Amino acid sequence: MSTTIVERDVALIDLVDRLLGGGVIIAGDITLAVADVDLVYVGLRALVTSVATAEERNLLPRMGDAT
Amino acid sequence: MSAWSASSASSVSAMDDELTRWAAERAPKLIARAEEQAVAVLRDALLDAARRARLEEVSPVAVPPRTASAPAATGELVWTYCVAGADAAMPEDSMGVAGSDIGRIEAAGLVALVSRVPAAEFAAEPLRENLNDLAWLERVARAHEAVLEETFALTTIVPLRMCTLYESDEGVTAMLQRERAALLDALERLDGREEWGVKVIVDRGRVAQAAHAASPEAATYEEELGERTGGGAYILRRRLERHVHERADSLAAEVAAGVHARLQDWAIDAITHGAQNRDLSGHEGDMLLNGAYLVEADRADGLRALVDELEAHHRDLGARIELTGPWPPFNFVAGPGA
Repeated sequence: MSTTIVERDVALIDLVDRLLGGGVIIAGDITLAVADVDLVYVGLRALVTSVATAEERNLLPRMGDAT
Repeated sequence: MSAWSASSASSVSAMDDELTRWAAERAPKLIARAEEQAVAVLRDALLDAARRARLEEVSPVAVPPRTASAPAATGELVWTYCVAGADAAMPEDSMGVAGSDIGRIEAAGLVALVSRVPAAEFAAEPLRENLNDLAWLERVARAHEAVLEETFALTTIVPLRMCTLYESDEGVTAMLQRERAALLDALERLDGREEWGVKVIVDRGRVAQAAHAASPEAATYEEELGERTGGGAYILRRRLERHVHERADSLAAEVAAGVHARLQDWAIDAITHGAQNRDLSGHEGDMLLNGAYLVEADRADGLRALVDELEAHHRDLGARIELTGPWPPFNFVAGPGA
């Protein structure tokens, strides 16, 4: 019954959350700092939101209009 | 009608109060939202400007950006994927990040899976540039993940955070020696276990309906509403909306906590993250839970059954429970020594 998404159909965001947000952090000669990871998200958002999002979707309650 | 005319004077001022209160309640949210957007826009602009400035710094003359890497970025770096026990089976003939071969570096009873990658692309400076290139990020992330999954199918691994790079094999050897105890601990703890992701997404409207239906106060409001018109009805309706909104929030929180508790009982370890950004994940509805669960690999079928059961249980909320996995245990390997 559940929408089971297994293995191969992995969304990039799920991947980024795990690869950049998880994994053991060990000092390398090059290691991403938290700020670098944040910038990746900022970059991703900038890309996606540039495709004009419908804003305010959740701002005002819709309930009661029908009553 | 009579109730309204008998108390019209006080009701009008009550309505003003109510409206003022309502506006005051909403205003901070609206302002915060606007600020958040403004900050995001500004940040993007700054990011862009900084990126451009950095490019110009490196190459004062306008040169195509991709070729304008820092002069120091020559040669190769060692990209690391994961660590396993030295006797672990490893995938053969797989392709790694940037089309590289996969190699192994052994030390201290451990093995690190590595690739040699061009410094021109992966040194600190170009790396930060490239991470902002969606196509590059996706290519590298999928390549990295593919190697991890192939290895994970064969043996227990400790996945390293993506973009942990070394200048030489010796650097990797030193890391294995230095982190030996913590890595061995982690390998032992993770043996035979895998990570599953669970996201609970509900239809906000259905949650509000359920909260409404379950609330005696809402019924009282509605009864009163039936007797009023005009401004009085408006105020009451606003109150009812606010009440239902609050109840819907608590119902959502209860559902999230309930699902998490059931999964947590069942799992060896569990962690929750904030809801994913809707623009990035593209999910419809409200993400109530975004958790990761460490489970015994041979009990994964039981997890599916449990997820199905929980989803059915919350069907009236339009709930969808997305299960992803099995993942290497990204969320269950804290920093070394943890």
